[in-house]
Amino acid sequence: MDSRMLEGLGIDLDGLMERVMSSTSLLERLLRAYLEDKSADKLTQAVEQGDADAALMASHSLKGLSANLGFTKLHELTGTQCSLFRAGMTAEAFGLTAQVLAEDRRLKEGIRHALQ
Amino acid sequence: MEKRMLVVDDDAIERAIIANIFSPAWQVDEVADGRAALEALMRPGASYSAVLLDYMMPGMDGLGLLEALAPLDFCSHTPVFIITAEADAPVTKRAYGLGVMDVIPKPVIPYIVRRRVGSVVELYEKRRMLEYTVEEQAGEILDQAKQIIRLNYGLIEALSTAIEFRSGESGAHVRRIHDITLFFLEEAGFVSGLTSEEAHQVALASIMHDVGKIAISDSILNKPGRLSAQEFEIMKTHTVKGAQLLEHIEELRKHPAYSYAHDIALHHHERWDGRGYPEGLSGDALTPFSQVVALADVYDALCGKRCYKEAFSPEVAVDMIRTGQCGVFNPALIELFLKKEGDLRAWLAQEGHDGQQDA
Repeated sequence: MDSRMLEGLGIDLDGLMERVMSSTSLLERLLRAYLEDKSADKLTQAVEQGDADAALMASHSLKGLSANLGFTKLHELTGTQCSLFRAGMTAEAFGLTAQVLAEDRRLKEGIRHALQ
Repeated sequence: MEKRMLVVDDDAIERAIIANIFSPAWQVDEVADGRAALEALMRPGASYSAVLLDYMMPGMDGLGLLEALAPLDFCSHTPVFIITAEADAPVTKRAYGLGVMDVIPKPVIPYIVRRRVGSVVELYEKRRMLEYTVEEQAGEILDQAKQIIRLNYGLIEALSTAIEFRSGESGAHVRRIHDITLFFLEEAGFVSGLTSEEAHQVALASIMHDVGKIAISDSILNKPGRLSAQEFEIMKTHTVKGAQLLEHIEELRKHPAYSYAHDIALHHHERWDGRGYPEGLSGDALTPFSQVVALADVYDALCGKRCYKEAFSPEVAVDMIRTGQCGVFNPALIELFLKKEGDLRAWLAQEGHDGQQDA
């Protein structure tokens, strides 16, 4: 696992290492779990169907895991998106989906690379 | 012993981070929603020392689980912690209102969550231990109190029996007076509204009815045949002397049986028609307790052998009481006695109407 590559992706590695209590094996396990995570797919589907509740749930999941894994930018994006959903600004929230998905894709690709 | 924790979170990454924080000291069970958590917590034999609960989950969320647990008063014996990224005031207030011990912000910071959970779990354990200790000590104190009560009873019985012995009575008379009194009060219900505890106190008091005889000389006490008028006057003083003796025992004055004992010692030779002694009280001026003991004393004296007479059969004794040959009693008491005398005999034949439950 290449930690410099992870930092290069904009991941808050210090915070992440603290949360996993410096266990690199747990860190790796969590990153692999993220690669398998289906929240982004669920978000895509929910937005396609115009289902705001399901979209909020998926965005909230992404927000939670990005907070834990130190994905600063994804956390900010999903945080804003969740707030917009909760404020009833559904169109604006849906509007952020492309950015969220792009960031998710960028992270997954980078992490897949770093784990090789 | 390894402590068990239940982590309830739909986010597997969150669960893995929390499990890592608490292992290996804890056994960490993980579930993904409120419904599964409820099942895990309600499973027979499930004993968790802490529950870490995500607020926002699909299906039954954290507050939903807390609401389901509230009627069971779950949070008072197991600490529940809410973990949430949305720690806004209404959610926090609602969670505390439902009994959570703490609201921990997400993402968790290991040393903080460890300390917060650890402190509360320790508090719950100490409290449980304290409750257990108090319970155990209360049990010990109760045992000691029972022992003291038995000892009190034993001492009172020993004193009363010793005094009865002087007039050739056996310990059985004292025991029977106790049992007959208890029968009238508890089995036959002569005094309505009397508690079982009060009935036992009166029964205990009844065995002291003749303690004043300690002040009567042997020549009078054990005289075969009739007493002279002067001797009888002396004999009658055992009532007043008995009451005085009881008054002088300071510890006894604090005893719940004291007022009964004093009344009974003083008045157990009074008569319903006012022709008894020492005060010549009549009718309702007499307490039902002294009336019962007076009848018990006469009945038992008739049925037993005395220095001045042979034993009568119970049938003869009943007849003598009914026809007023042995004093005048409250008609209601006589009626009850005649109705229940058969039961009384059966009751006396049973063992164990002793003072062990005198409390």
